[in-house]
Parts: sequence; C-alpha cells; structure tokens
Amino acid sequence: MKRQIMIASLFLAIILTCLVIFLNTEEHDYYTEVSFEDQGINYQGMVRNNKFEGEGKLTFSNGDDYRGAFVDGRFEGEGVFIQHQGWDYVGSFSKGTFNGEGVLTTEDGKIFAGRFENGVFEVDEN
Amino acid sequence: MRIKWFSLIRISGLLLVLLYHFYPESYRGGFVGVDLFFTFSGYLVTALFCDEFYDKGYINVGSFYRRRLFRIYPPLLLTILLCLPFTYLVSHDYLTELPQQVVSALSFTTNLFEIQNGGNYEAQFIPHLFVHTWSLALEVQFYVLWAIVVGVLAKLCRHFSGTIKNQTTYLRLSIFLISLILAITSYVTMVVRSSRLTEFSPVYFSSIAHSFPFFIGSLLASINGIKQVPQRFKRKAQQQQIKGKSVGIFTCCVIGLLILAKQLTFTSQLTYYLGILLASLLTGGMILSARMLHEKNPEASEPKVFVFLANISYGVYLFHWPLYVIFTNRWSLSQAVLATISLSIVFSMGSFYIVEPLLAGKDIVVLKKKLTPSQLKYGILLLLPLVGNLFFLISQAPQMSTLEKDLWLSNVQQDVDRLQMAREGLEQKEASDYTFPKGTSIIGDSVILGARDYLMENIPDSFVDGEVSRNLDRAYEVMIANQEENVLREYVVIGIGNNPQYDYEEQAVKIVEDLAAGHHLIFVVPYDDSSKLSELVKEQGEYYKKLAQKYDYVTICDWAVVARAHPEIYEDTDGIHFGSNQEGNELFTKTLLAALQEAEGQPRKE
Repeated sequence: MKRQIMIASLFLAIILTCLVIFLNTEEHDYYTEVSFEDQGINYQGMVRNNKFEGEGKLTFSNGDDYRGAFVDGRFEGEGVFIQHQGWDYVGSFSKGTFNGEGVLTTEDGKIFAGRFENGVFEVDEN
Repeated sequence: MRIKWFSLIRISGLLLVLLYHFYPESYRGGFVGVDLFFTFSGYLVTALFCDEFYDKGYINVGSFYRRRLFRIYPPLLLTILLCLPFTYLVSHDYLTELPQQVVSALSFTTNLFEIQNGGNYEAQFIPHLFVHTWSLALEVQFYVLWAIVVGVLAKLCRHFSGTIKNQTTYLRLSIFLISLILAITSYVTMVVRSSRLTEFSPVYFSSIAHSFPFFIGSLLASINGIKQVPQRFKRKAQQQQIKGKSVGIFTCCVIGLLILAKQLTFTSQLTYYLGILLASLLTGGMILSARMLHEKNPEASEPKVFVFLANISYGVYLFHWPLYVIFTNRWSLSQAVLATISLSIVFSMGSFYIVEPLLAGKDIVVLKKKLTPSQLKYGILLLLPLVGNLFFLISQAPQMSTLEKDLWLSNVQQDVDRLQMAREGLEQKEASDYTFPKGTSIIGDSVILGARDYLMENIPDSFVDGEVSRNLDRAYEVMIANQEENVLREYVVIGIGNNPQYDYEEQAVKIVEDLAAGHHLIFVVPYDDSSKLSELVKEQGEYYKKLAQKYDYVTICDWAVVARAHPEIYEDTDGIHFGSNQEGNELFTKTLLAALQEAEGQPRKE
C-alpha cells in the first residue's frame, strides 16, 4: 500500500509539473536578430511562434528591404518596402502584398498614390 | 461485475481508429471510433458509480481517481518511453515540438495543445507523434469533473429519506437530468461552432463541444446500468427471441458505424452536425444489446480472444500511432502496418499483463517465474536509459521542421517577387500576340513552393506562385485573379494534387474551360506513394491525363512516373516534398521543361 501511494504520488507529481509547464508555455513575443543564409534573408524584430510577428526589419541579400508590420511571418499592416533597383512603396500591406492606401514611387520618380487592391493600383475614375 | 460482450465495443472502436489511420482513403470517417470509446466510458463510469452508491451508500471519488490513474498512466508513460527510440530511424524533423507534445500528453492537455497549433491527423506535414493522446486528455478531463459532479449528487441524495434503493433512484434521476442538459449543451456548441468553421480542429478537439458522447453514455447508464436494470429490461431478457434480436441490433449498429466510417470526412460539416451524434447513438445501441445478451445468458462464456483484445485495446491505441508515423516513413504501407500492429500488441501485453499489475501491487507470473512488486526496482533500472533518451531527444527537438521553415521562407521570397510583379503591372507592357505576358506561370501547392527558388532560376520568364495546402479550388481562384490582372503568363502550369479534393473533376474542368484564349495549359501529375491519400492523388493524376486527351491545348507533365523511378530524391523527407533535395529540384525542373517544350508544339486555347 505504501508503495502504491508512492507511485501514485510520483504520477501526480509528473502530471502537475507538466500541467504547470503547459500553462506557462503560452507563446510570447520576443525580439530577435536572425539570419537565414541559404535564403539570403536577415531579420531584426519581433517574433512569435517562430515566425516574424509585429514590427521588424527584413533585408535581402540583393538589397531589397522591408520595415514594418508582420503577421504570421508575412507583410501585414503598415510598412515600407525599398526595392534594390530604386522603386519603393510606403503604405498598407496585407497577405504579403500592397493592399489599402499607399504611395509607390518608381525608379524614375513617378508617383502612384492611392488605393491598392491585391497589388493592383486602383485608378481613380474621377 | 464483468459484462460479457462489452469487449466487442472496445474492439470495434479500436478497429475503426486503426482503419482510419492505416487506410484513410477507404475509411476516411473512421475517427468516429473514439466516439465509441467516449460513449462507452461515459456509460461504464456512471453505471459503476450508481452501483457503488447502491452497494455502499456512498461514492469513493478518491478511490476512483486512484484506479483510473493506475490504469491510464503506466501505458501512457511506456508509450512515450518505448516509442521515442524508434525516431532514430527517421529524420530529426519528426521530433518537432517534442517538448510541448510530451508535456501536454503527460498532463492530459493534448487536445488544448492541438487547438493552439491547429494540428490534426490529416495535417499535411509530419504529424505530431502524440497527437492521438488528445482523446485520452478529453477522457481524463471528463473523469475528473464528472466524478466530482456525481460525488456531490451522491452526497445530496443521501439526505433524502427512504431506503438506499430510493436514494439510488434519486441519484440516477439527477444524473439523467444533468447528463441530458450537458449533452444538449455540448452538442449545440458543436453544431453552432462548426457552422462558422472551415478548419474543424478547434471544435473537434474541444473539451466542451466534443463531450456530448460521454453524456450520452452517462444518460444511458442512469436508465439502464450494469447491476441495476429496469424491471422491464429483465422481463424482456426472458423472451425467447431476444438473443437473436440483440445480436441483430448489435450487428446493425456495427454496420451503421462502418457506413459512417466510409462516408464521413474530417472536413465535412455533416460530421459535426450529425456524424458524431449518430456514432454515439449507435454505440448506445451496442451497449444495450450487449447488456441484454449478458442478461439473457449470464453463464455463457466469452471467447478468450475477445477478452484478450479488449484488455490490450487501450495499449494498442496508444502505441500504434507514433510507431505507424515512423514506420510509414521507412517502409511500404503493408510492412509499416504489420510492424506497427505486431509491436503495439507486444508492448500492450507487456503493459497490461506485467507493468500495470506490478504497479498495482499484484504478484504475476512471467515465463513460469513469479515476479513480485518488490522486484519493481529492477524494472526501474531498465527504464532509466529510456528516460535519459527522452530528455536527450527533448533537448535536441527543433521548434519548426526544416520543411516548414523552408516553405515559410519561400513564401516570404514569393511575396517580395509578387511586389515586383505588382510594380511591373503599373505600367502595362506589350506581350505577345495576345494581351498577356510571355513566359510561364506556375501555380502550385507546397511541393511547388518548396522548389520555388530553383524553378524560377531555371525556367526562363517564370513566376511561381505556391501555397501550403492549396487545392484545385484555390488554384482556380489564383489563376482567374492573375488573368483579370493580366499577369497570367502564356504557359500556365497547374502543379496541384497533394491536397486532393473529392470534387477534383469539377474543379479541373473549371480551370480548363475558364482559362482565357491564347494560353497553353500544363497539368503536373502529382506523386504521393507515402500512404494517406495516395489513391485519391493517383486518381486525380489519371483525370489530368484524360483532360489532356480531350483538349489539345492541355499537356501533361508526368511527375508521378519520374518521381517513382527516383526514390532517392525523397530520402530524409516526408515522401512528398523533395524541395530540400538538389537532385529532386533538378529532376522536377527537367521534367517540367520537357513538358513546356511539348506544349510549345501544341495549339493554344482558341
């Protein structure tokens, strides 16, 4: 009987310890600097669940650069994208592309300011 | 009191689950096997509580917890310790999130962990080794709370005047009412929540929404228990033909469950509206008919094989999944199934006939040698290396598999390429004779996404748009969106098939018919010989070939044939995604280039 109580106590101790760990391992956002050399990607910013989440800066080995908001590892929210050949975009992103209000300035200084829908500039008919 | 033929209910539940895991294309609704377990557990636990109250005048909740702990925990610990050494046979990726998996399995919270992670058995990538302990978690959560509820009810019923028989009647009545309320609440929660979902894991793994099978079982136990059954039930048992009728009802319920196992799917709303409820009600039918058979002929003996299988069923359920996940990566399906079943039975026998009795303080005889609980210390010494191995593997486990990481980063790169494409789209360019750009648009799933960088580097003027879990339905939307934005290129490659839909014919025809004039269309025949939905994947590939025969602007890139001839490109992968293998990338690109060349000689869509 004494042995059984000891075994039951051991089991309960394992269960409770694991329960405490489980309840305290909720994903927390944290700041990190990480390089993925194979893909030529460098990231400085917030991370959650191993993916970019929140504000961050992503630079590519070809010179492309994104600074702004991420959700689940993708461009989502307000951000600035500077392309290495000289054009840039400042504004709203969603699902990784231009979505919402933004300003795109081409290599030769031409400005597209207004609304973008899934990467397509919506021409104002008025 | 052992009720004969209840063993068949446990065996039926286990068989349905095994069929679902081993042959998901044939028994895609076999997951209802766990609902047999749930309903049966609800019935058994509640009926035993009622009997205990009737016999003793109280319910010893502490003793119930102790008995459950000694029955449930040793096989669970053994599953984790004995199965993990087999992970040395497969890639490191199989250990992804191992610490979280072990912690949640050992604390009976796997269902909550899987809700957080959106995991399920049909997850596309390497499944969690201990995902199946979600049902154990739900069961233990039910035991803990239900024992308290019934314990409180029993205390309240003691205050009623009258005989213990009357007090037991009050207890059963109160259990009936509470079970009814909880079953309805849980079922309504499942229906309402599932109506708003397309990914059903949160409702399937939910402690609330998926608890009604337990309460259907407890409701049944409050009416027709184990020792205590209504007079009407006893009178029925005296009828001449009742034996045949009971066998008939039991058989019909089993057939009904088999039909559900064939027809339901994890992703169908019908499963959550009706399927799980029907499975629970059919289990109720099995319980009643088995109970009647026992009442009719209590002296009849049950075949020993049934008793044996029922005894090891819990162990087999626990051991089979991690072993199967590992073995299917190394061997063919039939070899993996055979090895899984054999080892699961051996481990379960060891657990049920040796470890559990020893821990419970009983002497046992193994190979004519008597083992006493005091010899446990030698057993503990044997377990030490396994415990050491567990901690070692936990320290080595990655947070994200290589495949997941590669796909996610490819996705990031793809987003940047899309930005460039969007930029180019601002100033319309002249393309070919038609008003769309030259080159190749490749629309694919995670297989294509994994090979994206290599494809874009080696196929001229190509743009690859891949997405994890993409099926034909979604590929159609991407194709039409690209077409409307005028960025769909001259050659359109559809590399979809490893997430097959049952309506793939309709979806494929939509792609063929709604593609704008002037394009060439190439279908990549998908490859998947790694079990799971392989038959459906093959059927979809065969259908692509029929389309190519019917429409002259459709060309086939037969990746399935090439991939099958080169198993080496899948070494240390999940058997589907070759993207991490350079040779695989080269081979796929070469095959696709050959198909593009063939398409060049074919007519365009008129």
